[in-house]
Amino acid sequence: MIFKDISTDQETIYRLKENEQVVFFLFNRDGEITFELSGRGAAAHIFSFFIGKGTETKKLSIIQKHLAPDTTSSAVVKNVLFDASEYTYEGLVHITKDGKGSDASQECRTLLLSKDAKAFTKPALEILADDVRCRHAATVSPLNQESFFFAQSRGLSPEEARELLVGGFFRSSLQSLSTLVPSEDSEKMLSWLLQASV
Amino acid sequence: MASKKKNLAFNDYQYGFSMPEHSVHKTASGLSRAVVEEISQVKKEAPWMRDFRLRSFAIFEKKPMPSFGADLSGINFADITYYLKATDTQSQTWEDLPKEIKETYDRIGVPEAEKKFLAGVSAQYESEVVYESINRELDRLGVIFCDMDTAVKKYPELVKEYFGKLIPPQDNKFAALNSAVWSGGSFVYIPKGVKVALPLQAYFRINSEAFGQFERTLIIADEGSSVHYSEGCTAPVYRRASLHSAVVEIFVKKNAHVRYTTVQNWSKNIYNLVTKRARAEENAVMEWIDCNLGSHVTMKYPAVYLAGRGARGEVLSIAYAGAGQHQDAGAKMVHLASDTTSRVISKSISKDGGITSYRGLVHVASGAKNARASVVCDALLLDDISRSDTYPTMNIKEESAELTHEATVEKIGEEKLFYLQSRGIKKEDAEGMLVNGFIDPVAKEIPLEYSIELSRLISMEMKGSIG
Repeated sequence: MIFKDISTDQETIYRLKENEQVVFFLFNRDGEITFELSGRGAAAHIFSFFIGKGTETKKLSIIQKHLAPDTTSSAVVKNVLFDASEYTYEGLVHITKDGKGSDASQECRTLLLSKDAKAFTKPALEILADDVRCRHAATVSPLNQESFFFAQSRGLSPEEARELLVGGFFRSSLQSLSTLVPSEDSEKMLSWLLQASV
Repeated sequence: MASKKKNLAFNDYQYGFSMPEHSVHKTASGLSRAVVEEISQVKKEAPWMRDFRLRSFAIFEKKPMPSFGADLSGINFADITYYLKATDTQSQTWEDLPKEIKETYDRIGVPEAEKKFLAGVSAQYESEVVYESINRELDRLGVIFCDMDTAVKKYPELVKEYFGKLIPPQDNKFAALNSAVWSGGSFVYIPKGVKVALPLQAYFRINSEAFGQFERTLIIADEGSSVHYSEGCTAPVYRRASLHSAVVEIFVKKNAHVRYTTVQNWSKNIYNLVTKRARAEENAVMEWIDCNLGSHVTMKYPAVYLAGRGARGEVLSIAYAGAGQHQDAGAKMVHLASDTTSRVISKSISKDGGITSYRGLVHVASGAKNARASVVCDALLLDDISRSDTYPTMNIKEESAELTHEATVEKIGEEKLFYLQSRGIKKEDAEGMLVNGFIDPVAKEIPLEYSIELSRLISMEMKGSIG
């Protein structure tokens, strides 16, 4: 499994050949990016993180194209929106007739941390082959109020409690990233992400 | 052809084959201002309705076709006859019906009298006695349940207040078309606090316009009332006309509860383009239960505008697309007030090259605090020539909103199939069982007699191609 940080890349199409397996890391990236799985056994694992602040407005579109059999793709998109930031996610999983035996997933989760933050989510699926596994999930929500309250009842300040919960929100995905690429330390990445969110 | 039909119609009239109070009338095919005026004139409508139709027609001409969804290029507006007296739209004899449809009636076990009514060969549904007693009961409660044309004449003030207010003609091209040429459909008014125990069924109303081509339905459930309205039937409904475009508006007042069940099984030559919308006030509950089995193309996205605090909206839907079919269905939940909740469950099955699409919207307006929305879409793909699409849109402009969406696409589990076969069940029966299990969470919500027929229909569709 190869690790590629494409946060500042200009490339918009990534083609994966037979048995090529890549973990893509995106931080605060926007635009339309296509991942083409063009050879049997190719796998793309996409992890995107976004921290929105001020009046920042970003739109990310991830297209997962399965053009060959037995290909795998997964997209995990996690966003935390502060202030009056706005985030739009438009995902598409497209499995062509040649994509038999494909496994595709996309997951987009957004935390709204301010009353002026806005999230627009549109994760689409287009499936033209059978014998596939395909699922997507999307959530938009504020911090879990019970957890937030509990953390404070244990002596944390509201800011600390918030940081703890935002950390947990990112941690689960970073851990699955480092399961795929053991050389990447999830805790190191997390503290880097949290710093960016301060 | 048109002139020949005209002669026939004239002859019918002359020999008194049609009922005298319903003179047979048919407009020339194609749509123009004159045709719209003619429809209004034939119906002897008040000027406000005629003006509404003409205004809508002007909007229809200006509006573009929808830029999304199914392929609608097969619709030729000039070829369609926009107003036919109902007797004219139906097959005149049982023998005229296509063979597949007759067979389907037999196989799913629709009662004889109902079969004839559905096929349009029987002028009256034969349980008239039952119908009469239901009618008396409704009268006693103060419930108004009649066809839309009658309502415009008998209750103009009530109709004027609500008609076209939720789905104005400007909404989309087909809403404008319906507003210009509508005919038939139901009008229901439930007074304050009245709970109607028995489901109101469109085909209880003994007139053949129950399933009009451009039907228009308006339901008003006043404060604290409750009603279950159901339309359609599991058995295929045969119509010669190729375009069905209905508009359904529902007003659910404070603390009221409306459930609207549709089981759509139009014959496979029909474009079914329907606009359905409900507005739910404070603590009201609106439920759409929507099963789309037939038609060539369906585009239908039942919507709930959650306008009052604590309102709840639900859409439970089943879509089945076989050869040559495209079911583009979905749901729209618009959260406009605080503490509103919504739930969408969509189950779709594609087979023999059929296409099913889920197209949905969840919108949480800024200021609608503590809104909760959940959307679950499950699709079953039964072969490699079929297609399943999911296009959910979520617009969240409120921090405290909690929204979840989940979708899966899969085929029938090999292990389950193998297990059932190992217990001596034939493959096609096992597949029917698994598909019925897949739709069960929604199917159990529809009235019993429908759900039994639905289950038989699914098993039959499975056998039809595999066996």
